Amino acid sequence: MWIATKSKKYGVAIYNWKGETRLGLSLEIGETVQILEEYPGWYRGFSMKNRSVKGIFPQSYIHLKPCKVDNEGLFESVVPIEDPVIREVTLVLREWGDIWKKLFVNRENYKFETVGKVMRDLLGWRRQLVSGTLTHDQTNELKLKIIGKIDWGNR
Amino acid sequence: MPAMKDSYIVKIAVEMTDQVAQLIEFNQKQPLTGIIQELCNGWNLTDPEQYALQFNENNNKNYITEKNRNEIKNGSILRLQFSPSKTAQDILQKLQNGTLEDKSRAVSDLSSLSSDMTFAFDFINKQGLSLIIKQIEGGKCKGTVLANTLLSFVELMEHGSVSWDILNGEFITRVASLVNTKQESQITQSALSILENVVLNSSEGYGQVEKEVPIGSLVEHLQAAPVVQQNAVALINALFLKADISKRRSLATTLNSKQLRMCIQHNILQTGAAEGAEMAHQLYVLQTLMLGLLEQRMMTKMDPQDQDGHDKIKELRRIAFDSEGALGTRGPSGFTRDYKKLGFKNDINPALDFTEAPPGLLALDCMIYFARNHPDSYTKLVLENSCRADEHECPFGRASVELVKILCELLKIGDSPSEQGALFQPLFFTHDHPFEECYCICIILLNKTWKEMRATSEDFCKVASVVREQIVRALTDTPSSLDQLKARLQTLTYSEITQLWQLERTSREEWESHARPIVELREQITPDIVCLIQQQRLAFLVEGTRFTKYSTRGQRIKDKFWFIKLSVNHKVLHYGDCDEKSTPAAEELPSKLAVSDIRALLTGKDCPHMKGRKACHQLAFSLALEGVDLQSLDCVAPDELTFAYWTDGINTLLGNRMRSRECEKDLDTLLSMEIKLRLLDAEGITIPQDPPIIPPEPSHYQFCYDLK
Repeated sequence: MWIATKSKKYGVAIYNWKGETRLGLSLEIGETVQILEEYPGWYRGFSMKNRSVKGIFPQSYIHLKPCKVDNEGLFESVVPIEDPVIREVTLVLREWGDIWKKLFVNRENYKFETVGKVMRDLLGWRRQLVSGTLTHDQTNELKLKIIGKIDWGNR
Repeated sequence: MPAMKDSYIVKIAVEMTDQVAQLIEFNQKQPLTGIIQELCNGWNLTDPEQYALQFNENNNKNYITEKNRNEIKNGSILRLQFSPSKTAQDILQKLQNGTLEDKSRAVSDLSSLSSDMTFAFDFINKQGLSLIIKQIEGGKCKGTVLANTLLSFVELMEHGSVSWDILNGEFITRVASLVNTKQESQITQSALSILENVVLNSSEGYGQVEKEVPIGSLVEHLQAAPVVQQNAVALINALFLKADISKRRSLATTLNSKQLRMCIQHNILQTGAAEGAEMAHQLYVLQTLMLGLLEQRMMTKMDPQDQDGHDKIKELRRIAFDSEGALGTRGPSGFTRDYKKLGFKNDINPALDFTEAPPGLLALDCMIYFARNHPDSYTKLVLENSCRADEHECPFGRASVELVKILCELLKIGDSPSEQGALFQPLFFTHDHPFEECYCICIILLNKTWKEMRATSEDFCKVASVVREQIVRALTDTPSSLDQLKARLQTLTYSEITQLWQLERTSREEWESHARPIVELREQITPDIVCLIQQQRLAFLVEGTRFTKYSTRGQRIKDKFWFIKLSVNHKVLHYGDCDEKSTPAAEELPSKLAVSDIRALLTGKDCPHMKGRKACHQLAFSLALEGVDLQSLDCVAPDELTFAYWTDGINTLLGNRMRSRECEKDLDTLLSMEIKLRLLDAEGITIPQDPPIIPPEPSHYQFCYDLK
């Protein structure tokens, strides 16, 4: 029986899967998915990158993450529960990633180098935040540093 | 079929004293009796049933039986000997009726044969063991004969076919007296081993050995030869294991006495005797048993009526704040304030802090030990934190409870010793309260780490995890003394630990970049990234480049320049002369060349304009043409980057792979960033090495959310 999931709503793929099964949804490692329903061993849902394509994928390929569900039902939406600063850095990094590639194509070398360096700094700091080994004071300091950099980047 | 035949026939040699060796094909399918019969025929021996085959290697002289005959390999050299049964009979005869010299030789043979199971069973069946026991009890034999008799007994019992309960009190008394007096080391060694087995394996033996062998007499043996030392520690362990809790405590007190500790330290730990595997195991067992004595306190929750506990809490307060004077005058609210300063979670009733077990009352014991034995460090630590006005004070009480819990976990207190364990910490043999001393060192460490981390009470668990890491790492080096532990912990600062963690993360990242799913992802993304690089190169070509002119013979022509650029639709190259500053537009360039007319890209010394030149130009490239008047378009790039971009660009136009090192570099930079961005949501999640298992396909696809 396929049953709508209650708390298992959001997760990340921990391995690449080609979706080799009937109605399978292919996944790339690191891709986030929203889960609609489950069947022993399987989930059905869609990639956050493309909500219109729904399919099934093995539960073993998914690491579940905490989230908040709005508007339960077919049109429900999930919001990952995450530290807001971590969330913000994630979004900013993705956005800058696209800009960074444009800078590369347009050979704006100086900007390309600088933005790249700041992105790598942010990646490192984000990693430290996620690892959760920092004390409160350190976390706060780091968050300020990150926000400062983001402001710099957004100009 | 020769292959089949070979598999069960081995070619071997058989020797016999005073005979010429025989080379035979030993057929594994033929019964041993048959083979022995044939060998006897070869040497003209009668009574083949009196003979048996034996391995003849340095470490293996066992008789060959139907069970172990498969160990015989091609090229083995065996011996034909009298059979175990006949040998056992002969030895018994000599032991009973032989001359003194006969007896001595017989018991020497016996001691070396007894480890063979076939022989041992024959000998025991012929009542040989009872004879040996009587000889030991009788107490008449001495010296080598006694040593061999004891050794034979140990070996015969080793096979486990006879119960240790057959031994009577007299026998045990006799062996105990051998342990209690000075004897040759072989005798002591066997006697100790016999008593260890008696204690562990016989139902009545423990009581007698415990009475008749005072620990004090074992101290002597701790100073003797390594095997004696080892057996002495093993006997101590056995006595410990069988003792009830009160006897264990008194035994531990004896063992913790300075004399005994020094003895273990000087004669075992410092001589390197502890490096042997068996000795290490025995010391591990001893350490585990001694530390195990703390289990009871560790598992005891504080009872609200526990007067002793309340007294200790009050004493903690008195020692910390006594010097401030006027203790009694501050009344009950003063108590609460002081308990808060002591860092108890429950400052109204600190007894509640000790209701979690583990670590139970052991935490309180450690705290009071610290306060009583190191009052200066104790008051310094408490006052330092109680004077801080901010959120940054380290709560002594709460930290102590957590720390004792960590120590109990790391030292596996309460676990019974395992068969294989061989890990012991020498420092636990250096003090009569080693655990408490460890706590004292670590609580000071915890306070130091707390400060280094600038932690607040919300960070309690993080500090605890760092301290745990510090202790684990310090103990990995098996410090030989408490001072060494202290010194090691001093160097393992918080920043050191974070660096080590960082290192681990980096190496993990390094590992992950080679992990299969990441490599796959890399391959998947690569075409997109290559496409980006191609776009960038073509855009560069569209912008165009000013080249210095070179003569057909490859000579640079001074102050002459020309310009080449690619049309926006990437179909035509425009070129023509220009001056040193201008950047002409496509329409301003007189000549043009269709991209489709380019046959190949040539570089370096393959270029026509570099032919015959001795020093060829690294930055030269040519477009070889076909179907047009011009043979080739020859250029020399002003710098390496331009060279790389042009060659990559032309290769792209020709549908070839880009080959420049610059392209590799760009690909790497862009790819590694892209991978990191793709994996942002998987940060901190372990990536499996192998693909996860795919479940069986669903039996139906009737989804509950289905758009019709």
